[in-house]
Amino acid sequence: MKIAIYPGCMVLARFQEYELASRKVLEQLGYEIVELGEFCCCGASLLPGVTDNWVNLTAYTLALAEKAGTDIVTLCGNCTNNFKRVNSYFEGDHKVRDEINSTLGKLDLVYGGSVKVNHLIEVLYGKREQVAGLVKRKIDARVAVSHPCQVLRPKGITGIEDPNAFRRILEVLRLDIIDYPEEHECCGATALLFNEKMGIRQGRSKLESCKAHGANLVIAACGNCLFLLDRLQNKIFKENKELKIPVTALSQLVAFSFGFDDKSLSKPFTGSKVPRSTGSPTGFRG
Amino acid sequence: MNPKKISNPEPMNSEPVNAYGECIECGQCVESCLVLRGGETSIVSELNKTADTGAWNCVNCWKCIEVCPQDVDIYGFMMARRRKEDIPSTMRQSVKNIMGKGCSIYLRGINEIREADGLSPIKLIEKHKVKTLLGGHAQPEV
Ligand code: SF4
Ligand code: SF4
Repeated sequence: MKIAIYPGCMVLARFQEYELASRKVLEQLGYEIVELGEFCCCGASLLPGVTDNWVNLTAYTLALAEKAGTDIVTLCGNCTNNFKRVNSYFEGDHKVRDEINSTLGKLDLVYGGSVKVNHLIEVLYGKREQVAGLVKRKIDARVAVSHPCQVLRPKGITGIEDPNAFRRILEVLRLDIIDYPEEHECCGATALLFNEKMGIRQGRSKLESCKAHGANLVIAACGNCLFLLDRLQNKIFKENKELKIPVTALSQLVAFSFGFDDKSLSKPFTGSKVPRSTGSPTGFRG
Repeated sequence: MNPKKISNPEPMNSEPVNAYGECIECGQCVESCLVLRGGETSIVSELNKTADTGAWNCVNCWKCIEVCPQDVDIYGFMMARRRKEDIPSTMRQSVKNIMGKGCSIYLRGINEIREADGLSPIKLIEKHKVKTLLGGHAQPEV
């Protein structure tokens, strides 16, 4: 089965290990990874409201995928939501569909609405049995899940019925999962854009709660969540460094469970201006 | 798919389908909004008319949409309001990057990092294509 990975800008720029691990995990599950050839913004949440033509950016990537005969797997919340929203315009008889195609036509492209876009959570959730069969290591960690809002809500766009899909995947990895009240709350990453203090405060309350409820590892599945919860930990816990807690991405954890031990899957990203806060993202390896 | 929850996809600069019209003022969106709890205004404050601005202060968690018993098109309402309100200064550079380069984050040197990791190189969309896709709006006054 063919699949193209759409990393999104944040993962592309800062979380190569998340993309790489996703690739390895998907290959293990029997997917053939296809390259789309070009990277274009998903039409990020910044753009709707600035220009209504944001939909054309989203559709551009969808059209590239359709041409390559592949579906798309996403690693971030915002991209997932935007792709699904634009796909929904291709389900009914919406005028915007023709407008999009008249613009794409100027670049010799057309989109028919056939590309299925699923976040990595949905792919792994749908293949839980296969995932379970590939587990080679039991990871000794008490994990807290940080659900990516825009992958799950609103249901009318995302089509995800089980709000705990992310948790279900970790269950088949036989992980010890903790409960904490903020599990389904937004991490606050998007707030960084208009009120940094609020974003930091929200991230801090989430991480503190994870720790207070017994977690020693936090799992995220979105570049923006990872950016706030992991890369900004030095800022979040400036005064109390002892409160820091390792954060890692879903696919890195799955890859490690599958037996991958590649350094590049857990490498700190040295190109980042923001210092990495938690050392090895698979901090549970001690 | 609940069609009421799709924002008005009909072009461009028109008001959303049912924003506000069917609100019964139950207040559940207010309770669910993280941004309000954080002391900022959000689109929910515009909906319940306690503020004139806030459409850009949103973490897009879509809790409000999830809890609304009336399927009020909060997304569509947000887009309509955003068109009328200024973009926060903190977002302008990212918006500029997207509209000019097709990516909100500066990616210089990215392919060396990707190569070292065994990832295939990325080619960013060409600027003229971004311009075409955005209807000639590249590098806007934002
Ligand atoms: S989507 Fe925005 S307005 Fe709605 S609850 Fe979340 S932060 Fe508040
Ligand atoms: S939840 Fe819906 S019906 Fe209730 S106040 Fe908010 S917009 Fe109105």
